[in-house]
Amino acid sequence: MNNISSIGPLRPDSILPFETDMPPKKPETFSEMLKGAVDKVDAMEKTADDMMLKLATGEVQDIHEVIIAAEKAELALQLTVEIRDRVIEAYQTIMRMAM
Amino acid sequence: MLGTFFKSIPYIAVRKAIDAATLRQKVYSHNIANVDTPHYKRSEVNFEDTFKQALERTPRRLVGFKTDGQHIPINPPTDPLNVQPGIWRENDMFYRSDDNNVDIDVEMAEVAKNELKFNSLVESLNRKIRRLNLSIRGRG
Amino acid sequence: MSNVNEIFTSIDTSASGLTAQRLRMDLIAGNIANVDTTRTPEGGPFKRQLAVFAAKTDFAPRRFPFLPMKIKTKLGNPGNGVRVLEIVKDPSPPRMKYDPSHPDANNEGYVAYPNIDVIKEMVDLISASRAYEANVTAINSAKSMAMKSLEIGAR
Repeated sequence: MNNISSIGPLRPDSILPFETDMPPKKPETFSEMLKGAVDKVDAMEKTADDMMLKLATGEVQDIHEVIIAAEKAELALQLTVEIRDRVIEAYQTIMRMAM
Repeated sequence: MLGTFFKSIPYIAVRKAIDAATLRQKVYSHNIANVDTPHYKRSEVNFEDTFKQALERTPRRLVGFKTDGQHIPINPPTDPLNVQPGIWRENDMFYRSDDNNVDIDVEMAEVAKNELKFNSLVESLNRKIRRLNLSIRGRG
Repeated sequence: MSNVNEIFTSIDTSASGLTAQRLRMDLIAGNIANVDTTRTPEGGPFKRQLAVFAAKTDFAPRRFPFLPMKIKTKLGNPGNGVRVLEIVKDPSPPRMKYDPSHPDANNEGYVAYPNIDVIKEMVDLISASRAYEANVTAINSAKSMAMKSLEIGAR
């Protein structure tokens, strides 16, 4: 019983042994993360549009490729839209708080 | 932002491809109805190749270069907006004794392929419109 | 350019094919039923009947006997199906069978039987039946496409 010590705080940069050699990552700001997400969604949307075009010109024969690209774009968009809506809702909630 | 989709190349392409598939259905129906008509020759619809060429702006034959506004253009590259699906009659050498060149199995296969193509295009367009809708409506 | 009625005219086109093949099957059934009919109101044995089909088009059909291989000619309109021009009687001579005891025997004792070969009629029947089914398939395809296009924009 005497040899048991309390668990210390978990440091993300020390979970795996070799990671202690790497400098800790600079935490991403929220706006950077949001911009990154929006860029990814935009890229997926462009891919989906491109697949649709290729289907129309007969370049792509496999419809599943087109549908998968469309589905990915839709999911990514849904996620981003949901985040946007919740952020706005959180902002509105805060603004409504009487100070 | 949303209005520009309906002027964009992917939309124009899908729209015209759907038109082509509709026309194809009509042409194949005519071929099948005339499978036993003497001297009848089958027709088919050409669209994808012409449109793709117009997109790449590379005509298959030599293009003339105009140095003066009054020059008559020789094989100018086609504007994708102007590409229409075209119906071509195939005067093939394979004739039956009644001079008809419709192969009913080929026509049936083409009908099936065309239906799949049409359904794929409509589904693809539908999903795009759904995504546009999603970005407008959001969660509510 | 695309016409609002195009899917429907496609179904009309296939329907014309159904009608034509049905008529052909009726004629074949008549031929088979009358394979031994030696006496008809207009005299002589029953003559084999066949239908003459022609394509229904807006333009007059042109024949190109001199065209080589796979030359394609551009058309404006695909056409609206098939129609039966007329029902003709096969002019080939009747089958003659020697049977002096038959009431319809001629002076030499030969009876004129219809110029109908049942095997050939059956083959024609199968061909007409397949063509009929192909037209049905075409109609189903047109219907499926029309139904699918109703889904555009549906939630």
